[in-house]
Amino acid sequence: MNYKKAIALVTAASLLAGCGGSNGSNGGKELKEGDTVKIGFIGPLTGPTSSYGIPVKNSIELAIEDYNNSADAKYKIELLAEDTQGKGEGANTAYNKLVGEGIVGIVGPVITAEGLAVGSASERNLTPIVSSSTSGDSVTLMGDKTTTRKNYFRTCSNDSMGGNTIAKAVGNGTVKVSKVAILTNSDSDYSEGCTESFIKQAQADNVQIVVQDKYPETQKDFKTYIEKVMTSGADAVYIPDYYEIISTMVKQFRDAGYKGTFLGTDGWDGVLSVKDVDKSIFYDCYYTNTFDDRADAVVKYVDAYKAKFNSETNMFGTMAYDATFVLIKAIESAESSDPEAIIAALEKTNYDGITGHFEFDAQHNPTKDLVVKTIKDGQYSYLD
Amino acid sequence: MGFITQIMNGLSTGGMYALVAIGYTMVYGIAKMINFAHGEFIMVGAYIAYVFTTMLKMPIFVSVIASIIGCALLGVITEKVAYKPLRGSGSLSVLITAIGVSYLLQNLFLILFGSAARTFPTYMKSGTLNIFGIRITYISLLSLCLTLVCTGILLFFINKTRLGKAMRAVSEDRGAAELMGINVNNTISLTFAIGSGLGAIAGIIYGMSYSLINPYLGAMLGIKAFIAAVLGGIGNIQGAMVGGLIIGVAEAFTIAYISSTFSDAVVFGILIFILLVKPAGLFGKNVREKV
Repeated sequence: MNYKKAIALVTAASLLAGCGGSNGSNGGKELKEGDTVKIGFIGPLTGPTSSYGIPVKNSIELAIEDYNNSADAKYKIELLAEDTQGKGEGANTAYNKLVGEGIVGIVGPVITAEGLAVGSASERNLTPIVSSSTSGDSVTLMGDKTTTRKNYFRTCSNDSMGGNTIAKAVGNGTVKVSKVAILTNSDSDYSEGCTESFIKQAQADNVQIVVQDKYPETQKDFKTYIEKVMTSGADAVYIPDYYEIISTMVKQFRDAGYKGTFLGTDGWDGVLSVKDVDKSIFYDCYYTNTFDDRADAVVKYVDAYKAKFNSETNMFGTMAYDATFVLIKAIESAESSDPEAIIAALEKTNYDGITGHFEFDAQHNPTKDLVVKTIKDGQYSYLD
Repeated sequence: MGFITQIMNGLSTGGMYALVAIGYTMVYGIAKMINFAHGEFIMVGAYIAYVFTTMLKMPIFVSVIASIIGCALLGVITEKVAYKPLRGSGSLSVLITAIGVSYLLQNLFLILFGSAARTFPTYMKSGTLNIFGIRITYISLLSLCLTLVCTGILLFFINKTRLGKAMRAVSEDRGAAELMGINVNNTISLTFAIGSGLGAIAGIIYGMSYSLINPYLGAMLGIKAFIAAVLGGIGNIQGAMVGGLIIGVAEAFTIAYISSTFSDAVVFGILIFILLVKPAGLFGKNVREKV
């Protein structure tokens, strides 16, 4: 009896949610100058991944403030932010709530898992989404992994681009190493994706891969892995993962006496900003990045962020600043809150942000080239 | 030589598990409850050391002492506030309370310090000792030595001192011990203090070995140490130490020679196996239930 009731309730709830959504998406109206436009943010503001989500939300706020204060602002943008705790279910709840509140588009989500969770619902409602960090290849794609999701755009590189770029740098001798060991986070789609694309390119370039191993997300102790890598004689270790785990891994590698090179992807960016990190262990590190943070505009943003929030931003935040403008510009050129018009405008994006020039390809990935960044003597640097 | 290096790696991780497992086992032996917040005590210990060294710029010695005392106090206060009122009620209520305390501490530190990891200060020279091709980091060596020394001191304390005798008496029969004039409340407090103090040491070793600390660090460590305690026979201190070392070595060997993706599976498999085959654990006594 109870069971049936529960099913009935769930069905009713999902029907209601569906209704709310489709009403929202059909209710597009023309926007006049000076109108207030609501955009949403979904991402982790609490929980273990909140260190990624909070800078994103803050940067969106900063971007909106900069836009609203600018002389040629057409509309007044308002932000509605919802916490997901970094979980897929949380992302769905947050998304449905925002749709109910009448947002015209979303900047976010932050984590690939969230992106995958809201993917099909947001496509049904045609909610325009611009994400600055969900890098999983499949996030912008439908279930068949080939058709592009109509409404989902991202301003960061996808996992294939990251692994591919760093493998090429090894293949063409820009980074001089001969034997590569690969360590992959088996619980991270990001890490798996970057590994796959790295191996593909490395095999094409005849780069020798001597160790290939996986570690679970919960792994804190890497002594055993390090011993394997060191006995294999590898002179480079490729670890595509995010900066916190990287900082503990590099530390353990250096403690164990490993003197070789580290290769990574854009998840590495920010590794020197981990609180009180020992910078002396970071030398001979090469990783890809989506933007060059020496640019004046980026420096200006970083300072403004620090002044407003009294904390350091990271690469997620920097990317989110641009993503916010990409969405706002699309709303401006659509001159309407009609999702289809905004999506059409997003497809024609041609915007110069602080991190570079943005256009989208057929799969809604940015057409930007990646840069290879290095860390020398505990300082970021570039391969120019 | 890779083989022996892997054994050493396993033993040093196991040493840390053992320190935590001893905390579980002592509390179980005397208070007859599983303190699932014990993993969080370790996290608190690591954070106290971090705050004293990095934020207050205190010398290492002061920070370590502060961490041990802080954790011991936390253990005693937790027992007084959360567990003591439930003494005598069902073991399930105590267990749920312990889980509640664990969430409380985790989220408290999440609010205080944020979810971003902090880098633990360097307390000792990093580097490796190389003996005939066997590579051991100094920190691993320290972790193993500390475990052995702490277990030694603890065993001496429990078997040779008056307070230790009181503890054993309370563990055997709380009612009878009380009748003999032993202050049961103080004895339980002391147990929590010692167990949590050892947790602080484990927290510091954790910070030194992995350099990063976050409010979630106690969760997995706590679970693995709990398995170690069950493996050794919960309530038995030597058992907890041996159990910790076995779990550490099993984990290292799985990663090194089978597949790293199975390492957690093997550890939990050991738990299932031991519960099926020898539920009292390796060193556990089979206590007959008197009717």
